[in-house]
Amino acid sequence: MLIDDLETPSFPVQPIAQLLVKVAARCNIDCSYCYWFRDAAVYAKPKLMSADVRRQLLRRIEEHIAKYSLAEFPLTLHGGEPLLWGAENFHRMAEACEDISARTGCQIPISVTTNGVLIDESWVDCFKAHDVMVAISLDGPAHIHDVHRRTFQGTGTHEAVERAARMLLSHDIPMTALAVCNPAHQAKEYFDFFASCGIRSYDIMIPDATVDEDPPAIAAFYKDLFDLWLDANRHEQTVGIRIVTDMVSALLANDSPTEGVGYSPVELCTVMTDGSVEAHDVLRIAGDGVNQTTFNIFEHAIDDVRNEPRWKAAREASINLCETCRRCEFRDACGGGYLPHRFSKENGYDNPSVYCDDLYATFEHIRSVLESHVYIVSPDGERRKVSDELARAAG
Amino acid sequence: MGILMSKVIASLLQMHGPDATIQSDHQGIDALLSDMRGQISRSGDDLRPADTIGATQVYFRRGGFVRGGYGGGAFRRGAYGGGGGFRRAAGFRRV
Repeated sequence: MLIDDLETPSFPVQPIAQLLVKVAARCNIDCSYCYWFRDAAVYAKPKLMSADVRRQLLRRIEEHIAKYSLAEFPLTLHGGEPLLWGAENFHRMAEACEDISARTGCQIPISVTTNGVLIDESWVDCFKAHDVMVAISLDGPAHIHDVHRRTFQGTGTHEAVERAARMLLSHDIPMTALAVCNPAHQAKEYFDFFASCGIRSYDIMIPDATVDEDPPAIAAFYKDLFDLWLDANRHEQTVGIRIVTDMVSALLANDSPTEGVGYSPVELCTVMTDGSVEAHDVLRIAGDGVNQTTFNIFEHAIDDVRNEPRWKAAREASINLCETCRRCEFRDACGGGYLPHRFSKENGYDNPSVYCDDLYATFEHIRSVLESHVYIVSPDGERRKVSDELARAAG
Repeated sequence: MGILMSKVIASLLQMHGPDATIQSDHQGIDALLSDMRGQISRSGDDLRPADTIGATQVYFRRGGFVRGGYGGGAFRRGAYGGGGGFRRAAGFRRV
């Protein structure tokens, strides 16, 4: 294996580039796999973000944008279930962001990640009025979705969520579906369902698990998913499956645009309902209180979080890979997998992902296909298949 | 093959000169390449995207910032909401 170096590359320091805003700490449904409520500390937070916190957050956002002359500063409104915050609060937040954009010239695109149950015409109007992009949690067809995504009364939520997704599509709201992989089912079941709904942009995320757990293998699922994407987009672009395109991008140019794939620092900043500031919210799967800091937006600027020990520890962990990862030929494309999946009580984040074997097999599969579809075209127009060039170089 | 795909492509591009391009016969792959083509051809032996002014955005995994152009015309990293060009602005450069 040819690895040019085993040292950790350095990554330049940069200001916080986006915010994850927890506008609601509670949820209106009871998903069995939710990472959020694995940490009981969330119950100590206010259920909803107050007007005082919202106003202070907006002040901090404008201050941050001005200080660093940012051209874009995306916000993701999140929870719990963020729609519990109410459409009126969404309007106020979005209008205030539009005012900041007008004053600073910085775009502040807003997205919301929702379980979709509460979406109705008034929400559609709100999303439309402010160009809010919507990520709706929908685990494919009902027989998969309703296994985990249930109400507190134990009934499935699929019917309501599918209805919401179709409503968003019918109103041309920019929408993507976020599913969680259940490897007991075939990738094609998800693929066919989303196609039947007309959902052409979605992700099927790797289930959250730590190294201390023993989740089922997922390689076969993701190899199948890649093959489905490959077939569907062969002659025209018909469907976007984020984890697939992220893995392809990561293999081709180390350029995955999301934090779940690729080798780059995790620099997420999470603002809680009380204005406290934390690092990556999914690190909650590591246990109670692991994410809590003493920083908050009333006493600290947004970028101050970069000096917060737990935030720094998460960033360092995301780029300081274990030896197995540093020696791996897919280091740059994989980046050790999703940070929370590297956690163990014994070693912290100094582990390969609990899904390491699956990620390796999936990258290997995708790479083998890419080699036969990618060409180098020389200035004189000669087209050479990468796989042929590789064989020639090896021979 | 025991080395990174990106390194392979970089070395092949070097071998075939600065005007060589990378293409695919697969529409989905080629669309992803189109975003990367400029940075690959510029960056020589280091495929990290070129530095530009502004902060890098690596989008939140469970967020909604997937370019939802399917059905709306633009491809994944095309326009945000029809024209903002909201996309990863720069890359981390290995130093």
